[in-house]
Amino acid sequence: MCQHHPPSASKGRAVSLDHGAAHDHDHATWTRRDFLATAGLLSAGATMMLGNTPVRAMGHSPLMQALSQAESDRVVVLVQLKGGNDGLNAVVPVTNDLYYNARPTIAIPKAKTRRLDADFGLNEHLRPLMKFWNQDRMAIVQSVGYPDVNKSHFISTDTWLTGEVRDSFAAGETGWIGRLNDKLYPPSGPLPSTPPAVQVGTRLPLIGAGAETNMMMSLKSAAAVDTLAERGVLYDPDAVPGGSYGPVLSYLRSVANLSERYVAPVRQAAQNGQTGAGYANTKLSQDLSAVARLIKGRLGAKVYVVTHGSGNQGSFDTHRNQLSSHETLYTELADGLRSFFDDLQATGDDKRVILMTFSEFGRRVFENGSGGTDHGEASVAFAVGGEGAITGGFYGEAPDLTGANVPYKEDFRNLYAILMDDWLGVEGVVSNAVLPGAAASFGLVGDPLAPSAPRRATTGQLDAVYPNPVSDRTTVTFTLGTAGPVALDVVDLRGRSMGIAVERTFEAGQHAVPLDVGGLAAGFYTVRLRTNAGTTTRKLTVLR
Amino acid sequence: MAPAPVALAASANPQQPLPYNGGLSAYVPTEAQPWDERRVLHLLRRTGYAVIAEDVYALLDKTPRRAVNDLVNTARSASPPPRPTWYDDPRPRIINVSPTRNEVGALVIKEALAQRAPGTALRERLTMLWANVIAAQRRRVPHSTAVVYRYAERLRSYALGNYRTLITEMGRDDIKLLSFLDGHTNTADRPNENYARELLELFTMGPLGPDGSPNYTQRDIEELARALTGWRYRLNDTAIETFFVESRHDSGLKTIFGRRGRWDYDDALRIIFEERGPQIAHYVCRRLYQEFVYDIPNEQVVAAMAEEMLAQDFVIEPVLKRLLRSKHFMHPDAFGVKIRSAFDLYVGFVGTRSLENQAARRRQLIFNFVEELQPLYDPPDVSGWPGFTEWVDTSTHVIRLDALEKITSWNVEEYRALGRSMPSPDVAAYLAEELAILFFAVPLDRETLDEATEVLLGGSQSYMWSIDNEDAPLHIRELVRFFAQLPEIHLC
Repeated sequence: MCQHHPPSASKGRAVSLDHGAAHDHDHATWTRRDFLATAGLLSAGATMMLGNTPVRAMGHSPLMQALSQAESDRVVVLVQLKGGNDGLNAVVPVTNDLYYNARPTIAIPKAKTRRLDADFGLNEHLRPLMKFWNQDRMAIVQSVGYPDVNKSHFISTDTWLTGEVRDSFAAGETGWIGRLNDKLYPPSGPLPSTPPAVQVGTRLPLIGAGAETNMMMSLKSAAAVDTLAERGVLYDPDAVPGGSYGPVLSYLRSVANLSERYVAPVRQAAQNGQTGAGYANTKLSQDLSAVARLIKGRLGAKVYVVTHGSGNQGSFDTHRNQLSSHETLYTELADGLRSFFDDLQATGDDKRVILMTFSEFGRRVFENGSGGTDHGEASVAFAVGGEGAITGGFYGEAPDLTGANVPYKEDFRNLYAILMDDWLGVEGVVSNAVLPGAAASFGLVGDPLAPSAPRRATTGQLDAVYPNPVSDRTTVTFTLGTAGPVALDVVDLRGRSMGIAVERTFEAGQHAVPLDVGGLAAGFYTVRLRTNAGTTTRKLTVLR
Repeated sequence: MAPAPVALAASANPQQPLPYNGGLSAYVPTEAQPWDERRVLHLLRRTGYAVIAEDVYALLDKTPRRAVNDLVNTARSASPPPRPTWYDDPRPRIINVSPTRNEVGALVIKEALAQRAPGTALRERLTMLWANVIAAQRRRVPHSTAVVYRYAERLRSYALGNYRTLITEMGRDDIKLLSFLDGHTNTADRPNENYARELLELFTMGPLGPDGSPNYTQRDIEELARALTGWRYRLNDTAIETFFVESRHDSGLKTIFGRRGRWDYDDALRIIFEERGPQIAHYVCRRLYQEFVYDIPNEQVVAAMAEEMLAQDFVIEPVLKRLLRSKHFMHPDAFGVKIRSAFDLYVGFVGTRSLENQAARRRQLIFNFVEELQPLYDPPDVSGWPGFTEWVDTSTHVIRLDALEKITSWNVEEYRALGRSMPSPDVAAYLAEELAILFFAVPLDRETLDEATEVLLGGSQSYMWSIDNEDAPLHIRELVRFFAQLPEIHLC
């Protein structure tokens, strides 16, 4: 493989032009093109880096393979509440005068809530969720957010999708699901034969964007799943207009269908899983019904994403007439969730599903002049599971209403870590790489699959790299104060990682790891040891 | 049960020509067929590659006749792009880049993205058309960028001129063509038929005439090859030129298309055009028709064009004007039936936005993507790019979508400018629809347009939408990316 193109440290969808066009072109012709042609269209918005093909100088860690082989059939369903959901009118602080004073016209009176506990009531339009609450199958996480919430829908949504706090649009982003998929299906291995993540009826490609590709499959709508099950196509080549361009468009649609990699497995799953009864004719319910169908059909995807608040019912961006908007939105949400779990329960599939809501931000404590609320900060997240999947109750901290905005107390990335570590059984070292610093900090999952490894207490330092200079094999020794995850790699002078030598959990004590640098060009490098305690480095000189 | 294999629909192989629809008679706006945005966009898309709102408004203010004449006149009279500094340098370009870098292709991209008056794009489009008719692969000619540049320059200078003169000059004076088709090794002692054959088969008349009868015999080719002997080229520090070597020329008697004489190059070319004029006119007009109207020619319209071309003694400009002003071209049947090449798709996509400046970096990226699928001045063989449905197959489809995703990744503020250039930037549903008209050559259905509006709003309420919102550019970019995913985007 070409040594000019190690994986870039600042990778993503940005395109490297460092080496000049011809160089890029040469590579484009034999790597990107071949890869894309072989891989098929991974999803809407599938991306590959041009001329920046990652080279794993020393292969990738066996841990990752072990992980992907540790098949669990557990599933996460993420429901985006688009527009910024007002947590305070959803989970109402019925004993808090600050709330009632701040919202003279749109506060929800205690009588119009269902009792969650002494201090909080659930908005009556969400009442179908009380069934989950009473069965101890619903967790309500309060004051969820992140530091200095950005009040742009787009930027804050990007933050939630990437798991990286941003204050502006940044190119070359990866989504947290995309990074997880990168770990599960590393570039040097084969692509998964079924989509590891699926989104239905929404367009959030960013959440699935990996460093080189996007393995998430996008299904335009629930109807698209039906069409796929029945006809095996995503775009109907026969339903083109009668105009003279009809045959040409029909041709293009056929091509689009054929180039979608995951048509066959999704069709199979859609045919295996029957459409459940009892769903309302709303976008969310229909989308969830399609998700349930694929889950029941054992598609094998670990993550599904749908969106609520993007259809005719309006969004959660309730700057005015919040009460009437919420009536529709919450009714549809609660109905959708109830139908979804009823559907799954009929086949026993509910036990392997946790559904969690998220929204880019909450809303201002004070109502505005239009019977609505403006963009705020922290909000609530609901997590609902099948039987035994969730330990119900309140998590996080009760909202602090003393300021204009609800300050965040629980970082949203910890919720992702809980889903990854405790529910999907992703090892701490992996989830830490996906979301550095996030922790499965509380036990929301009813039956944790693999309690996460210690994630913060590790101390570690790089002791030696010997022999050095070296031309083929050397040994790296390091010491850990406590057991924990370790990532050891080699970085070139421009900070680009040349490949990961090892990436797994180690016991406390001193360890020696052999390093084969036979694939590296002559020059100066840095050996980098990363632990939760930080990064230490040693110089390495490669001779040829 | 295994899913049934996905089959291409039977209708997926378009083969029908367009209806006659009034042929070459001049289009006059009517209530049923008004001179409106869609029609103006059709004209702009087919004659250029990037469309900006400003150009649409400008053309709407003219009569169709005036609009076409202005475009074509600009194409003829606009000053050509400046010659590169290495114009007289015979060496390959080796500064910082691979010697195989397609410098001339990069200049084409640069010119295309410079967004000069719409007619200049027409000239470039014609240049690329002739480069696809009189095709020569770059990699099989001497490694001199100046040679490739001169080839393109000559094509450009005759883009709307006399086709006979163009062919005559190209075959005699162009090093790229001469070497590509072995003209320089064609001698009296050892004749090489390569150039003679392609001159007839690809550059002038094709094997069969409009009535299906053969246009030439093997004997014609052999005799023609003898007439073409003696030309060589010189490529060194003092000269980039072709020259004639008497001793290599076959000065004997030849019979070309039944005419006997001691023909040399100029004689042969003259005879070809004299003896096969109607066939040549038909062939050239067919190529023009396929470029500007539809890949499956309407023979009746082509025949009318050929008649005009003969009457004009092979001058291209009047024929093109008549075609572009015609009822046939302006009929809705001709809208959106072509498939964009990678070049058209990418350049059209960025050019659709009103860009203040096309940074070198962006040019570079587009150049890379075009090179990947359609290296300019370097077709797959001497018959040029086949085009049409062959532009898009399952692998190129994936590559195209991936490239579009990347092309849309920069300078988000430009999306605000794009939004502002539309008539209703502050009403989300209208804006989505107006942008759809700008981006697509065919109408989108209601459902897709509603979806487009949702994508544009990105979760906010429609009454919150304003083009002045801080994140409005991000919303528009999201919409543009949504557009890029639809199969309709490949239509032109």
